[in-house]
Amino acid sequence: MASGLLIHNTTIDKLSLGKIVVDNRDLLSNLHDNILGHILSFLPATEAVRTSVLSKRWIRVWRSITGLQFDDSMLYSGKRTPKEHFINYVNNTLSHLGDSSFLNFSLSLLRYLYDPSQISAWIYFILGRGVRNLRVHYADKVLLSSCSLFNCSSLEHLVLQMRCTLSVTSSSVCLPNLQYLSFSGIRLVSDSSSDSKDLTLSFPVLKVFEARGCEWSMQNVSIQVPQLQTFSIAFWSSLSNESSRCSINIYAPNLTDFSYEGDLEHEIILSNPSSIHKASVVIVFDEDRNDGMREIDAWTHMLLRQFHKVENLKLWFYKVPMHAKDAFADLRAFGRLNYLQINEVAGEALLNLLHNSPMLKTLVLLHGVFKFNKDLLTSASVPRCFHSCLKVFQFGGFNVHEHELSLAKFVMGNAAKLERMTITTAFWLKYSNINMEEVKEQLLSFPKCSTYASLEFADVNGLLR
Amino acid sequence: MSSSVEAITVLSSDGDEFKITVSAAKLSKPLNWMLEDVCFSDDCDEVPTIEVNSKTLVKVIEYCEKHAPRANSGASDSDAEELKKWDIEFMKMDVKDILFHILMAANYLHMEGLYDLACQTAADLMKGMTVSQIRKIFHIKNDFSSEEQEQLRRQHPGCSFD
Repeated sequence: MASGLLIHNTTIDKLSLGKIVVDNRDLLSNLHDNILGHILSFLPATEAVRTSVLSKRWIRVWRSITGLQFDDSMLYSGKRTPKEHFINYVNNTLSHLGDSSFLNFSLSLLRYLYDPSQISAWIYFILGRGVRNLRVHYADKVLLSSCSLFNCSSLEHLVLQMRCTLSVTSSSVCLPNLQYLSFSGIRLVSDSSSDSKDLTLSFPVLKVFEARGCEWSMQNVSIQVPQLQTFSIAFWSSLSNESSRCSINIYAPNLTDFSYEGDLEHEIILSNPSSIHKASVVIVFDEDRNDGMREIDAWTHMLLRQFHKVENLKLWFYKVPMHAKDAFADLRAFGRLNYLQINEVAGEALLNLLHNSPMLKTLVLLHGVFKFNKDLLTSASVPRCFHSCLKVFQFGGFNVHEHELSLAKFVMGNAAKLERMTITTAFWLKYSNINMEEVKEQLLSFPKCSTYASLEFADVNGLLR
Repeated sequence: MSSSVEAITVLSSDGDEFKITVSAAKLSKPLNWMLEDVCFSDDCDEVPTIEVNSKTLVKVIEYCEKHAPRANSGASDSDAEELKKWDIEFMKMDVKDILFHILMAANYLHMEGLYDLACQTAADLMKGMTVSQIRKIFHIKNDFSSEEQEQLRRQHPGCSFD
């Protein structure tokens, strides 16, 4: 916010040490307009504009404001602002603004529904003022031209949460100063008149990229983000019947945190995935779509094999593992993985993952493991991480099934460094006639490979003593 | 400047000497320019003066030293959280007494983080207050005549004058 900073050192000497409370002089009003304008930018717009009635000195001060926060659900003098008043108020405020460069603008419109062009008029006005931080929250549709948004090179921090279709006319977009981007509900489509179905998004100083509930209907999207550290993307299930799968290429050599949520309708290719330490993959597969069953294996596999250098991996698959038998076969080893969390998994897949994670310290199963053949573990070789690394095993969603008991037995009998195994029972067991004391005794009777391994029991409410 | 220098000495406007590490001084653009200047080479005795009084400068340096490690190297989120908590505590202390001095010093020394923090703190003192409460807190004298007040009331129909 350097442009808000001006040197006014002359005033410093005029002010001796004094307490606001004790000293009766009005130190605040003596500050330069630019400083006051910046202070006011941290107030809700109504309160900032209201300072014009403090004293004669303050009549025009608010026009130097460097930021405005409008919120239509704010109480005003204990009352709700009617919609028409709010619109007039925003229009009025914007029309009185001085020429100072504008830093922050936030529109929180959660109480009323507006004409889509009304909101875009406000956004256009602000984009034209060289805004650096723009934040819009709105539950419904907004019409916005992608040109005016992507031509606003002053943007540093952009948060758009609204229903909006950005029709991109050019094949490349660049925001040179953007450091933080958070999109929610934004559709990116290529303009029907353009020939190219490819798009390059270039954000040279972007650190954080978040996109939720997005739909991208392009053939190829290339994201050039050399300084990106965090990438998080969540797609809505694709409703379109387009057969071609969109491919997203991410050039982010400094990326450390990666998060994906979706149905793999988009292929994600990381140009240099080895910098990623932490990866989270949530895949929700729509069973009604029969066509993709076989492909989901290969797609999952392709996404996962990019994370061979991660230390922390979260895999939440919904309705996938029943089909995805091969997703975990022939994976590259996760050479550095020490924390693995899985929501539900097939026995074969779990074994594959364990064999491929020689450094694994913590294994968390949130909802147990699918039924597997009891021969699976008797014939299995002991994964390398069991010899030297695995210390914590959290076994959630335990149903006291035979195969689950054999998995617990397998871990206890082979993990040489195991310190703690926590078994959390499924909620329904409370209402069953299974005698949990007997189950505990059975588990405790299993031979332990690690002499200092402790066994804990918990239900959904916490540890049981 | 010599690369061996790790801390520099500056004078406050009251003439007191203060030490500030090079990495902390880099948080301020003018100080950074001074660093690049010859005045800190080993064979120079001249100590530059910073036009900030001693009481304020102590706090400014404290802020710089705390924030320097993060500013100079990308730090993790947990560090950022911790730093945010520290900032809140920093502004809670006796800083309130010298808030305006800190504000002007941060502005003068081009320190964005501290400037924003001080402005935010000042704004928090006004937030949710009525006009007359703000006048009282900051000793702002209401110099409007009753006719002018009437006129303003008409201009800002929603504004409360209480």
